[in-house]
Amino acid sequence: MTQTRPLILAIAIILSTSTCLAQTPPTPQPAPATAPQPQTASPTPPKPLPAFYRNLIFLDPAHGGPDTGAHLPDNALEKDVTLAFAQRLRSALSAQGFTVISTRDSDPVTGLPTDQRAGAANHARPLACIVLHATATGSGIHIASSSLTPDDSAAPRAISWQTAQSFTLPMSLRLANEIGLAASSARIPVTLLLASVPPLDNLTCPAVVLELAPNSAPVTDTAYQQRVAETIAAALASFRTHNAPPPSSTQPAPPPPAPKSAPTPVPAAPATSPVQKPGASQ
Amino acid sequence: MIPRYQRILFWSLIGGIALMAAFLLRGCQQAHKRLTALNAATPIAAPNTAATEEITLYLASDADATITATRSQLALPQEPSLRARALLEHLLAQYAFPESAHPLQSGPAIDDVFLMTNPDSPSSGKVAVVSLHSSFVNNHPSGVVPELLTLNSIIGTLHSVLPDVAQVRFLVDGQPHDTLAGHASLARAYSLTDTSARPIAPSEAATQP
Repeated sequence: MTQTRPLILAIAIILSTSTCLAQTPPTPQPAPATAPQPQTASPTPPKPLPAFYRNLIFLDPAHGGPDTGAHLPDNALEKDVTLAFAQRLRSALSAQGFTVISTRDSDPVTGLPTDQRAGAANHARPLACIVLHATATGSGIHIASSSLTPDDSAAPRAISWQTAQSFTLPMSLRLANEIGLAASSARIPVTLLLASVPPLDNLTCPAVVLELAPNSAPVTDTAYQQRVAETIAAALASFRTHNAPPPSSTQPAPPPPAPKSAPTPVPAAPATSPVQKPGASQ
Repeated sequence: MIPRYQRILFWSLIGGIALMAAFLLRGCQQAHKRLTALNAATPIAAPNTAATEEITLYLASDADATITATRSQLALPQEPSLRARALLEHLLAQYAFPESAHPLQSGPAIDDVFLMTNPDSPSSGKVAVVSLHSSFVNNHPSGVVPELLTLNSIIGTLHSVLPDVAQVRFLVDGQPHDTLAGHASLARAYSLTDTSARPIAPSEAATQP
C-alpha cells in the first residue's frame, strides 16, 4: 500500500500537466512579412494609450492636512474653501457630462506632496487639470498658466519632470483663455497670468491654476462659488468642443484604463506620445 | 488802581506762557512726525560717499496685477552683489509704506545676494542667488497674485541693475525653499527679463487650435 501511493501521485501529476498543456493557447506567431523574418523577431509593441480622455477632468483642491494655505477672512482656511469649491465644481462638471477625479474629497491627516498630485494627474490622462486656490486679495478669478517657454517640437519619449508642462502649454493657454472668456461673459472679473505654481510645471495635461478671489461677496459665499463653478464647467465644455471633438462613429473607442471611482471615459484619439499636440485630438 | 509794574509783570507772564505753549506745540508736532516715520520702518540710508544715480524699480500693484517700471534716484555701491542687495532692500522698503499698492510687512527682507557662473552651462551667463530672510517669507501675504508680483518685481529690478546676469535663484536663509508663501515656486531658476507687464485679456481668436 505504501509503495503504490507515490506511483498514484506521479500518475496524477503527469495527467494534470498534460491537461494544462493542452489548454494553453498556441504561442502567437508574428504575421508573415514581405521579407523572411529571423527567428528572433521582436514582439509586437503594445498598443499606445490615448493622449487624453476627452470627458475626464482632474481637480486638485490645493493644500490640505497640516498645510492650511492662506488664512482668509471670517476665520476661513484656504484648504477648506478649495475643497468646498471643488465639490461644487465636480457637480457642475458632472452635469456637463464630465467624469471628475479629485486629489482629495476630504481633509487628510497628512498633506499630499505636489509631486504625488502631479503624478496622479499625469497617470489619469485627463482633458484638463485644474488646480484650485483661494485668496482674499484681488477680485473675481485669477487664472494662471505655466510660465515655462512653450515647446512646439514633438514630445520625446522621456520628458523632464521640471518642464513637463512645456509640451502642452499651447493647449493650457487656450484652456485659460476659454475660462477667461466664459468668466467675462458671466461678468466675473478675470485676470490671466503666467506663473510657476507647483505642480503646474510638472503636469503633462492641459493645466491651469484657478484662484478664487472675492467679488462683491467673499470667497466663502456659496452662491458665488456656485456661479463660478457653473461658469468654469461651461468653459470646459466649450474647450472640449474646440480641442477634442467627439470621435467619429466609424472609429471604435478603445477601452481606457478605468480610473479609480470613475466610469469609463471616452478617449479622444490614440497617439504615440503622452502629450497631445494641438489639433491632434481629432 | 493796579500799579504799573504789576501790569508789566502780568503781561510779561502772559507772553511767556504763550511762548511756552507754542514751543510745546512745535515739539509735539516734531515728535509726531518722528513716530510716524518709525511706523513706516523705512531703513535709514547708510552713509554713502557714492553719488546718486538713476535706477529703475519695477513696482507691483495688487489692484490690477501689474508691474510698472519707475525711475528713481539712489546712491549704490559699485560692487555688483552689494549693489544688487542695496537695490533690492530699497525696492522692498517701498512696499512697507502705508500707501503702497502692494503692501508687505516691514523689516529685513534680503539676507544676501551672490553672483556666480552657472555650473550647468558656464557659457550661458551668470546666475544671481538671492537669499531671503525667513521672517520676510513667513510674513508675506499668501496668494498666487501677491507672490507672483513680488517675484516679478525683484526679477525685473535685478535685470535693470545687472543686465549681464541671465538667471536668478531664490533661497530662504541660505536654504532651498519650495514656495514663497505656499504658491509661487522658489524651487526653479527664473530668467532675468523685463517683467513690466499687464495681465493678458481673453480673446475669441485664441480659443481655436
